[in-house]
Amino acid sequence: MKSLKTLIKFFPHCLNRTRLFFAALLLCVATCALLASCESERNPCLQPTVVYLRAHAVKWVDSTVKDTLLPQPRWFLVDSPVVFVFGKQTAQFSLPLNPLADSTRYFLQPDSANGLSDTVILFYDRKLQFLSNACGYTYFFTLNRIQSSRLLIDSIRILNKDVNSDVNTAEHVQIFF
Amino acid sequence: MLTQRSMYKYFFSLLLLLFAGKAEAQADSGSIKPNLHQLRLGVDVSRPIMSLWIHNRQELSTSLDYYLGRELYGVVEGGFGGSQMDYPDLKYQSSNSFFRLGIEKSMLARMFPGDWDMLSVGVRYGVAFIKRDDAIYAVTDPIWGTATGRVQGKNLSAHWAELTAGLRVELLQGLFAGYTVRGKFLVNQSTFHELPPAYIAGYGQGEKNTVFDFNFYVLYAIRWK
Repeated sequence: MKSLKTLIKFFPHCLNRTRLFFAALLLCVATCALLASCESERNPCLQPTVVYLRAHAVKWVDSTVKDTLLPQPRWFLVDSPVVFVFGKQTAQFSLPLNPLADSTRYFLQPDSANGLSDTVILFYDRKLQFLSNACGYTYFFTLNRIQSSRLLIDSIRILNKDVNSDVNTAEHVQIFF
Repeated sequence: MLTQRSMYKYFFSLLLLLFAGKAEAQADSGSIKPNLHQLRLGVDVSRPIMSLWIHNRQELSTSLDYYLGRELYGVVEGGFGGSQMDYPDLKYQSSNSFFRLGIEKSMLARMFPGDWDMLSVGVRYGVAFIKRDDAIYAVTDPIWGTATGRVQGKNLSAHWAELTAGLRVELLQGLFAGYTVRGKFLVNQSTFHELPPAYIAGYGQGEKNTVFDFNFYVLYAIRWK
């Protein structure tokens, strides 16, 4: 232990300081080059910039809420030619909301084989949200109310009104059949 | 990301190191003491070099230190700079001035009274006064198209603490070169949740609560009896 202390104490005296400087300079230039190569003018965006409303198809069974697997579900956007086609026997859906308007209209076809559909209109407030300098801005939404026709749908319940980038929250909407 | 608790832990460890070093240096300075006062002025030459790679950031940084005795140096650093974001989805610029105040402890034993080389550790408090201009943003949705808007400019201030380690070597009479590596810890993190400047001169990326950085200085020392 004593010899270690002595070594630490006298180590600087053992070095030629100009040499030490040039060694340090080399280290510094290497660090500089490394930092410069790692840094960029803009970092890449590594998070989603579009948020989705999570909807769940359910039904009442003996006073409890159970999944309803829809046979061949399709969600049609009324104001756009886009159709979201989900796999067979699906109960959970992720749907985008229109960031340029305060509502989004969908036609929901639970079974595309029979063609019957309901209209679902989601009303919300938009909130501009800064994500990062890498990703810029996006919109988050606060659901206010939901209207729907009642051909196949029984009712719709809002469980979580905040539609944001946090995917670990409760689903936003339950659709009862 | 470092928590406040771990920041305090690092500071406490460094203070212990400073005090330990102080006891050691007192023993050393008992044998070899400097015979002059020294004031040293330096310029960071690494930033103009970095600007050759990273064009949207600018910084000019200077350093002033004075020997206080017992191998301690009082340090004042300052400078200014700015950054530009010029992309289709986000466009703004910011500029700022900054100051750092702190103390540096030389851990290198003197070989003779006029030996001013140093291998040091230190602490700093830093503050930056930032002006961020209006920002223009565009949110592009793959289905519905693009929404654009403007976010009003803002004056901000950033406060941070630093742990430093560095080297200074006297190459010619009074002319030094050396570097400082820094760990920086932003204190007022909540100020920067909404559109933090891409780069704060003196600190680094405004979005980060912890930044590691280095400066390479060329310095000139003035000495008197």
